[in-house]
Amino acid sequence: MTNPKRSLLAMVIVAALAIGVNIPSVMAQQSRDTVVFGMAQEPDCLIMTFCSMAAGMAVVNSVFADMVSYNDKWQLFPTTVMKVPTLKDGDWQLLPGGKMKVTYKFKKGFTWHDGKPVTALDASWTYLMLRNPRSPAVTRFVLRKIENMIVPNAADPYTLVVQWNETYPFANTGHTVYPRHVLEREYLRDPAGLKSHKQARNPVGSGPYKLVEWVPGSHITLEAYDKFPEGVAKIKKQVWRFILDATVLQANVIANQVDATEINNFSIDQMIEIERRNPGVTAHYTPAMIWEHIDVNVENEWLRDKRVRQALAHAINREELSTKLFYGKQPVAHTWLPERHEGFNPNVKKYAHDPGRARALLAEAGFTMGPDGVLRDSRGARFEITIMTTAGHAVREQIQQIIKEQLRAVGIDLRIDNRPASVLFGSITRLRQFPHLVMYAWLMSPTTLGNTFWHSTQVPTPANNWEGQNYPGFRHAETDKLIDQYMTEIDAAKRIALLRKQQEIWAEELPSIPLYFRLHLTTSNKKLTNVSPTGLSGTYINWNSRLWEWKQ
Amino acid sequence: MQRFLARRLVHGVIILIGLSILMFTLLVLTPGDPVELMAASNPDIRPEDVAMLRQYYGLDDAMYVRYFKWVRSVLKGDLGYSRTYGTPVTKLVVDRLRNTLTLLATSVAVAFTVGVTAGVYSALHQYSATDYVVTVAAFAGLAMPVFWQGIVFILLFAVWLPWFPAGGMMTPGVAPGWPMVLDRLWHLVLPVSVLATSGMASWTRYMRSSMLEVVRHDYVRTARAKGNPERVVINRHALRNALIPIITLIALSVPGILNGAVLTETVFSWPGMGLLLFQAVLGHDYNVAMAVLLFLALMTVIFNLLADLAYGLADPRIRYD
Amino acid sequence: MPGESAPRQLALRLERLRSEAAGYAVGQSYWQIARRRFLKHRLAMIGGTVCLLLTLMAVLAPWIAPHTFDRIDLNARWTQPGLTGNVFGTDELGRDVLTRIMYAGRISLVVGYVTAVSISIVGSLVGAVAGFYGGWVDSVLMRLVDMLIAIPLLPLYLILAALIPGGGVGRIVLIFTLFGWTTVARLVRGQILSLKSQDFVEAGRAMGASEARLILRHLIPNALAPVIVAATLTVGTAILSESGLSYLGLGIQPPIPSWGNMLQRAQEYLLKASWLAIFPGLFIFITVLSFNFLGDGLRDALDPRLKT
Repeated sequence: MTNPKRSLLAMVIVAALAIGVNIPSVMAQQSRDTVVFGMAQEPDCLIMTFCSMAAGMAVVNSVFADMVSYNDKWQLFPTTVMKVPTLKDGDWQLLPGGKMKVTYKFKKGFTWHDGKPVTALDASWTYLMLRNPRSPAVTRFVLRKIENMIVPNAADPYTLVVQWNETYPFANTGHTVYPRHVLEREYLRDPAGLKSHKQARNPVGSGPYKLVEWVPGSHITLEAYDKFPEGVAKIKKQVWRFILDATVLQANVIANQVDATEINNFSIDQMIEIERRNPGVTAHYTPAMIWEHIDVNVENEWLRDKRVRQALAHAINREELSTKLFYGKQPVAHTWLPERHEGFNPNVKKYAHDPGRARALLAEAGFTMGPDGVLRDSRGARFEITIMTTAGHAVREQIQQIIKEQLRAVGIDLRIDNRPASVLFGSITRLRQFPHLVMYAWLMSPTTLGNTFWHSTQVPTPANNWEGQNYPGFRHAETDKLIDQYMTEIDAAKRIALLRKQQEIWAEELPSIPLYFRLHLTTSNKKLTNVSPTGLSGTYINWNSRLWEWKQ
Repeated sequence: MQRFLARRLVHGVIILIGLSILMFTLLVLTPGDPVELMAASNPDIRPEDVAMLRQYYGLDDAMYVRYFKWVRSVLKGDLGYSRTYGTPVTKLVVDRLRNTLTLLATSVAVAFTVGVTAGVYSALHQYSATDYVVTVAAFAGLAMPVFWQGIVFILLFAVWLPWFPAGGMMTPGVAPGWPMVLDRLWHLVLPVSVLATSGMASWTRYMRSSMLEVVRHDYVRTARAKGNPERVVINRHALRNALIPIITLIALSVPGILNGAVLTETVFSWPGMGLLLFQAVLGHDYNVAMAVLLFLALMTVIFNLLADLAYGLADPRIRYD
Repeated sequence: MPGESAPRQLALRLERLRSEAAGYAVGQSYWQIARRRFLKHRLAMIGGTVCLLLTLMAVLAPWIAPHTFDRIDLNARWTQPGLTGNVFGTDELGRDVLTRIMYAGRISLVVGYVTAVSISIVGSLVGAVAGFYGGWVDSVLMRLVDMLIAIPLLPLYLILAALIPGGGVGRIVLIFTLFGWTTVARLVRGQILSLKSQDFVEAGRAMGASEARLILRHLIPNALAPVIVAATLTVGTAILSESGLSYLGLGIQPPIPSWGNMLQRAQEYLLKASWLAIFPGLFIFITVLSFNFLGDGLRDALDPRLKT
């Protein structure tokens, strides 16, 4: 009876010992020609215009070469084209009637991973394909501004002309390019079928790495593409592992089982813990363009009064949040644009933590203290407001707790009502269903101008078919005028002046309470050289991974 | 016998149809559909994009229309496409199924072997110190939150003592053949030990009480009285009879193990059906969620049927009506 | 309850044994015997005592908690457990962990108790209706039971949790009750069916007594025992299930503390402050263990035919 069990046990022990000794040594040898990335997300697909997961975008950074992209200094640089078009050089022209013409010259020598050349014909075809309402593109925001993309001279398939039907200040940031010869047949048969085309899971790319295998639920393996014209990647392989639990991912970083992480869901505390436990890892805290804030429903009878909104800002100790919760790493926000955005205005009205001032403003607005330490409005109603955010988001839930205590100190009773992200963003914000406050973040880019956030036409209502992201319901004539002006202002200096003016008004009116700017958190092994995350959405830690090397 | 079987089969089909309606309704009613999810993460999306995508994914049809469309394609053998993965559900599920079955089969085998052994030992040494320890340990195994145990194991055996990987199913790029087999086993150790815990505890308790019940029966006493060696009495007579009710329980424990698998796979990033289901439910990937849930139900129905049969074969006293 | 097969096993065993001892005398002496047996069951006594202590701790939390509940102190984050000040340490907001555990215990135990009661009520009603009316009513209800037993419940809880808004106790209890009543329903139905076929019912009927009255008179004491046992075990499983749902982010939502969501939050700080995970986990473990001991003891005591 006990014998089989004993021998089984012995077998297990022997096997465990054998493996325990073998595997780590195997891995150690391997890792020198491989970088293992860890992500807390698995991509949905790799034709990014049809997908929605950031994880896919990260892998795409290695697999596709862009026409133009941002580097770690947030400057545009060309990859598959000769140069970034500028007004000065004349390859970006303003035409009468507010139209524009932008010309790109593709470099010769870039090839798709099946050997076919990358040309302007691919770019113009991709434009046509995405433009077709039957292709499953998630958004056509920029596409709609473009009248056409043409290759004017059939003999020169390397010149692309983009004809814009409106003025747009960021018309030189390049376009998506997919391999026409791979996709066209399926496209002609059924554009809607493109999302399930094998290109979505096994793309023929143009970047420094090509996809070798995708094991669903586990990992994607990439291999250096030996015909990459700018130089073959120094490290032979990239493995992208999907480890969905941030704590498990953290353990993997500490145990050196992943060499770099991206989209890792780490908190600042977890990053610090990684640094403490594994001195061989660099924790990158990169300034990003992620703005954490609380939208105030300005159509509410209490919050309509800007003194009340200002009182809220004075009541919340944002300095303390920044220094205590984030060790000073994530700076307090005073306006809605991050410091590294061209339009950032450092001289807006700032609301320091000042409960006395908050109480005075509230008294001015007609609130009186009730017997239970909570304010009453002129009609005697208790000042009780609700804050909503994404359920399960630890940092936001902590901040709610802290804010609740601080608002209580000035006589406001804060209720907490959180929803899963899908519900919060799917209906609560989109259909403006939050009664008072909602806390979340906007992910911005250098091209974000906030027109959809603050223009009065962008308040989602049934009348405009819920278009826009002006969730606070902010309507301000002068702001509208400024936005209309800067949206089409090509001259950077003038645009910046308008943006700064807009922020001054914004900080006075305070349709949202700015909290802080989030950092982009990534890690990499110290032995990996040339790692330099950009902190921009769309550009991930591996944007320059072709140049990474293992230090000897 | 045949009548009984036919009736059970009809029941099984009714159960499956009922479940499919129930789950479809619940899934569709869940707020936030796939297009809303896409819209949420993308600041550039416009209402006309949303309208087009909704049409593209067929979300504007009435619920019953969508249900019948789904049923029609399932009957044709087409489980549809996964919205998130853009691959046919059949392929996706088959891949994941293999991983889950590896995990489940290993866990059940370990749990059953250890549990039955401990249960028998405990029963044969009733009221001994070992019996007491085994009983308390079995209770403890049932009271442990699965994910908590998983996290603690990762902490102990992957971080503090870096013996095992902290999640995942394989080392990418490991050489095929023996290194690969060993690599898989190495990755299996922690998740299996977590998933097997509650099973082990249950089997121990079932086996102990079943064994205790059997040894009091006449035929055991008779066997003993006939002068058979204790080993033979236990193995040939008691053990076999005590195992009969346990066979049924293997089938019935399947849903419970699958619950544990959802949590274990999440903790250990094990690319199996549990994890897939969890993500599909959260991501509103209806086709995937329906396929996995129905597959699980089908499995349970089949196992129940098998259990009924096995029970009858093993114990001739059971008659079917 | 969440895919547990133990109660089903119990049901099978009961069904088998019921026929052996059809005419078992129920009455005053039965409860006396049961009490005596229970008091002799050492593990059950320990379990029962711990359950009582935990419940007392939760009820009295506002009076006995060492610190003010949810008082945030950002200068005292991550205080390690120690004999002075914060016995179980402080969390990421500088809140006292022991105090939070006591308050969270109120929520977790309420989830357990209320689920147990509501499952018993719903299950008994459904079981009684099925057993009493028989025929197609019985068939429909039992197919429903088969259906719910045929799938792992956690995914269904997941779907329901995403479907039903809010984050309070009521929602969790509702979710658990909607799918958890099957075990009790089977037990009660089984009792009724066996009672219906027994001689004394036949006799009673012959003497003109109404069937319903007879069954109810005999049903209550007969079915009560297994229902009590199932309810006791439910308290533990409900607490476990809530923690599982919390781990997946769909259980009781903060700011309401439960052991489950404390544990979930603690996970992020596992490597930095493992005590945040260890203590709530330990409390779940001890609570579930105690209720299982108690339930097991009750089973042995209330159903002497199972006593070995």
